[in-house]
Amino acid sequence: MLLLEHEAKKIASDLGIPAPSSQLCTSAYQCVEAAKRFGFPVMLKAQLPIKERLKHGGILKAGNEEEAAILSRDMFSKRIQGRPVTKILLEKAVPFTKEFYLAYTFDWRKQRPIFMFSMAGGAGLEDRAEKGGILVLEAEQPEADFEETFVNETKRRGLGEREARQLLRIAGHMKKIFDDYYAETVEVNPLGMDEKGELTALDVRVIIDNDALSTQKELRQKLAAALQRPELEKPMVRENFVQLEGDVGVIGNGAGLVLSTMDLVKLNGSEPADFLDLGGGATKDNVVQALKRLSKIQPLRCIVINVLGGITRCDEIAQGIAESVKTLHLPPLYVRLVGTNEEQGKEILREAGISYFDNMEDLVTSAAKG
Amino acid sequence: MVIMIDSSTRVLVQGITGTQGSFHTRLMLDYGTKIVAGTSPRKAGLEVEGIPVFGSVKDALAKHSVDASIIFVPAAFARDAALEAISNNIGLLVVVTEMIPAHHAFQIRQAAQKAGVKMVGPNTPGVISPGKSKIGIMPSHVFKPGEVGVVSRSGTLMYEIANTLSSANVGQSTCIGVGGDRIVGLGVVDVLKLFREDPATKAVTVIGEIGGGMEEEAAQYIAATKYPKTVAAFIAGRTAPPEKRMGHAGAIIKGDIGTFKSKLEALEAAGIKVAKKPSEVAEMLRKVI
Repeated sequence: MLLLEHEAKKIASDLGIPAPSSQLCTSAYQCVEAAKRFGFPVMLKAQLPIKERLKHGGILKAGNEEEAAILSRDMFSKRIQGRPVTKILLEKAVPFTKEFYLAYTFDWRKQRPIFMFSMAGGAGLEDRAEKGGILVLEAEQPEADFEETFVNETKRRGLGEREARQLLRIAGHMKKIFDDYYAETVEVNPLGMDEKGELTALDVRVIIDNDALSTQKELRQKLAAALQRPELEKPMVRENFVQLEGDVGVIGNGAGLVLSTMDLVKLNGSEPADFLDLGGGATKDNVVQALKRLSKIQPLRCIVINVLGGITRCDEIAQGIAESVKTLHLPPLYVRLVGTNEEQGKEILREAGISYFDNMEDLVTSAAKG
Repeated sequence: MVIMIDSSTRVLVQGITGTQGSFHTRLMLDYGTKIVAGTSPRKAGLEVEGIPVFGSVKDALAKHSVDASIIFVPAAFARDAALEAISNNIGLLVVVTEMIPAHHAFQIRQAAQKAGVKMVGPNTPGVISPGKSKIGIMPSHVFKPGEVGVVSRSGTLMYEIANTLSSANVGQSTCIGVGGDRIVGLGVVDVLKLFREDPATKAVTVIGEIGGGMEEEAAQYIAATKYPKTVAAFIAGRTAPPEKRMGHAGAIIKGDIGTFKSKLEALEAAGIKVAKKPSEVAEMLRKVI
């Protein structure tokens, strides 16, 4: 889950990472009032969970009251990447002479947490990364080793020892967010430094591991308290659904099986309408919910259900299908059901008058023809 | 002798009293797996399917010798269970639990590496040596004894391809699902190394999916070390639109790395045939077995 900027900054400043004076606003009037209080110039920042806000007009600078009024009214009335702007973080514009990039994240290929640093933050970082401009350190190493390497490497890049130590302090706070909040990424980009050497986090990005939100109660309580969002205490329900362009609905258990079912649909000359993974150990209700969701995509030519149960039990799946057929308005179903409790599952389908396939390639070929 | 497990491997089931734990204990016993004990923190003294339940790994080990442990403990407590098994020097760990946070998975992986413990998973269907033993949740009737080693990033796709192999009379030596999460223990290359040394394995199938870099690494390893056994591959996600998140985290595309194209190209450059349909794998391997 990607936190909104103001949420990420709240957590960051709670841990001692300085951020500019700001107020979360829901109207142009509030924006103007806050701007007058902070003094100009100010930044208007749309609070949306999207990438590249600057490029899409989600970050604007206002130099006086009139600009603040016009720009905030504009921003509230538009959609950015399809999303309406309902909240603007109004921030005092902080002057800076240097901007850095700092991040804790996972290197998924090497399967380890890392720390990344660049002398130049801001946009276009990805291009510089390709040219080797980013310092990458293993996140999990003795603190003294980490600090020594960091100071040496930043000195080599022209930074003074005092500045390096200051950055280390910010990095330390970021590491605490990374660990305490089960974050996949904690990024400060840019971290501005003014003439006096004062540091301010101009933007903070925190992505929390959805698996942790689903399974770690302590994390949910901590997050709900920090952000004053009590609804976060409820376990996150994992959603494995992506809507696509085609007209053949696809449901299966396990991402790999669903993906290859979609591949077969396409090989047979049709287009999948979605990706829907029931996951491991799906219940009858999960199946009903999945079919309910697909019944809302119009118009579907048919729905292909491909289940090969290991931890998933075919009888549960079959019960879900049988119940859905009775209660929902569905296009023709093509079902393949094998694996754990297969016989019980097939019996349930037979009683409900639903035919089935044993082989996934036959399943998809028949669906494509039908 | 086959890799990792055989009929004499003694197995501990952590989380044996839960719904999945007890259900799959029954199925593993039916298959012939030698389960000797189980754990459940608050249910010591009970029996599940005739298997004694202990309060901790240590208590179980005081009464029984164990070679491998399979973990069904819910994600909220799975890290502690895994670390408990590792600190008690159980040589093989199969972590079935899904949705373990990445931070926890990393901690388990590190501890296992340090202790020299083989860890399969998390979010794995487990390991099966058909006809001998299974430590996992796979539907056993789709597998058949034989000479093809199977390593898969996807659980259900491993069942699917094993099923088509078996139907074509191409049996399997050992099938291992490395787990669908972004941080797992043994990777595809690690398993290829095991198959390389395994006299019971004559050919290998690599089953991959979009996301991550394990297939590319496997291609590199196979080419660089002149892998001595025939390898056939299947990759799921040929038609997946780029930049869309498809289900579990393993299937995220990032830049050019981990796309279907990059995997296909890497494997083909290493001289590995990549099947278009799951059933083609059997056709490819029938010729060499």
